[in-house]
Amino acid sequence: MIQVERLRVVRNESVLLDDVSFSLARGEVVALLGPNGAGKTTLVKALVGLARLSDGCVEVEGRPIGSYRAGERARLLAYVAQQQDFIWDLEVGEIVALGARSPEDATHALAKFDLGTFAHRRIKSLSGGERARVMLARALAAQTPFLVADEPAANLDIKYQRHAMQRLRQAAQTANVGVLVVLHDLNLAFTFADRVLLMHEGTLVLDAPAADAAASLVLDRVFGERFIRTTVEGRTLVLPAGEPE
Amino acid sequence: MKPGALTISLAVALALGGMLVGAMLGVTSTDPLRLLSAIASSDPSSNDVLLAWRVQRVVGAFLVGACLAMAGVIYQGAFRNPLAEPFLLGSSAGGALGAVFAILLPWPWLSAVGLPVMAFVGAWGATLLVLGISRAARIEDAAGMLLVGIALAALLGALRSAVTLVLADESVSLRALVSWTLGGLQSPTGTTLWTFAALTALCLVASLALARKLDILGFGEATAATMGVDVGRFLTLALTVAAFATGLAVAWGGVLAFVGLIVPHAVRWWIGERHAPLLLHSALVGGGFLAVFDGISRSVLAPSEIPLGLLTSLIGAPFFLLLLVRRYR
Repeated sequence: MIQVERLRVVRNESVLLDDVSFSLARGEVVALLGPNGAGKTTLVKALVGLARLSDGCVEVEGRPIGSYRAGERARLLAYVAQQQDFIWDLEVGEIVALGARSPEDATHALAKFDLGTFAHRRIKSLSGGERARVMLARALAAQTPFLVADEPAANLDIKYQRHAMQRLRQAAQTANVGVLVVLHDLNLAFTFADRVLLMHEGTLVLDAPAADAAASLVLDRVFGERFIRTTVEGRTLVLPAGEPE
Repeated sequence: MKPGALTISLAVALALGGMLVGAMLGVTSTDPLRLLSAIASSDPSSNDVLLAWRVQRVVGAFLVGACLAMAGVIYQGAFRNPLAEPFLLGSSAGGALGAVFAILLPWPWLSAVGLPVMAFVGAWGATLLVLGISRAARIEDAAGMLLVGIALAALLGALRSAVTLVLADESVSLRALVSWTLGGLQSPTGTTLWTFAALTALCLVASLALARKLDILGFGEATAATMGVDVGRFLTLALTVAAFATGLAVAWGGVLAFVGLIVPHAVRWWIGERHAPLLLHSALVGGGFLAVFDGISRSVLAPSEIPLGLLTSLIGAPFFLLLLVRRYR
């Protein structure tokens, strides 16, 4: 279990996160939504131990995230960053193996993301979307109890957006991984997540099951859009209706 | 080419070939068979004694080249900067300043034991200064960090000259000292040579232990931190190993520019950028490369020697400019 309690992050006198509390259990997929600048990336960084907390705490399996050594933390949490440096032009297979518990895990993760034929390709020869799939495969190959991904679908085409979310959901269901994923596509979140967290101006304004979140008018207020709700195959999805009121 | 048994065999062949060519070159060129008999000979009266001395010097050159190549790979990995190398980062200049202190201060124990130690302390201190200044100024790009290194190298070079002028007396040959700082190989013999070889092997083992985390650091410090790398502690360790390799190279070879840049880049083009094979291949190729260049430095203007540092700069500076042009084009 990851437990976030009354989290506050202040930088240069600006409040980036204020009084944020929620939990992430193993086996569930939670989507983190919110407009640009809402504090999603700061929250994700705090969750994986990369942000200095001004107040509150993040506990993973009952211990503060800061009390884990780097190696211990890497065995608990895998992280996919929003933007990824690739200083060295390594092969795809080498990159996935760097995060994997075993060579077999690396091979499986490559196959899961349709990267088997890419194993010997150099990372800098790939497109942005292909690189994103490599980093997701690398994170899944780590076989950690929790996985946090910051906008992993941003560079993916529509097929691989759904494909990536299916793989994350599969990891949650079959390997009991707790997944927190930052998304901009609301319907992707409502389709694949069990629960939705909605951020606005550094605070958490909604923490609800995906269907309830899709129906909530808080969405309209936070995004400044009027959404039309529709039901497709039993799921409530949203479409922007026009100019903000 | 993917690194493996074939590429390692080729790198070993380049290393041995480089040493062979280096040993054949000199005031008088010689053939491989005579070299072998000189190594085996115990007759101190023949000309072969000179050849035996040459073989020891070539082995010294090999070890200096291996150390500089390893240091270059580690600095590039730790700073996440493909243009980093001991000379451009001021690490060699720091090592030379430390070594000059060890040579010139009137304490015999310091000169005997302390030359490599002082060279290491100087190289390490200079590296930490570059890192500290870059972080304090929030310099993160490759060019900015190199500018800090180049400025520090100029400062340390000036300090070294000042120290040399103030402390040198008739007991120390100023010409020999200046020649050494331009890159003049020592000729380690007997126990010294074995110690140097053992320390170089230790550097290789230590650097191979760093390799996986150097790969991971290429994803950026944030991702590396979430992949099990304690970035602060790891950088301190990596820079210590790199400074140790630089200190060894400076203590026995003076200031040799660009070896730590040329060799790792050539090896990257050949076998790719994963650090474990890169370190091993670079050490072998770097050793062979410097052994050949040492031979050239002894033979081109024989019986005089061209300081080895001049030769490496003649090759290395245009190579560095080529890399810069490719990077910014």
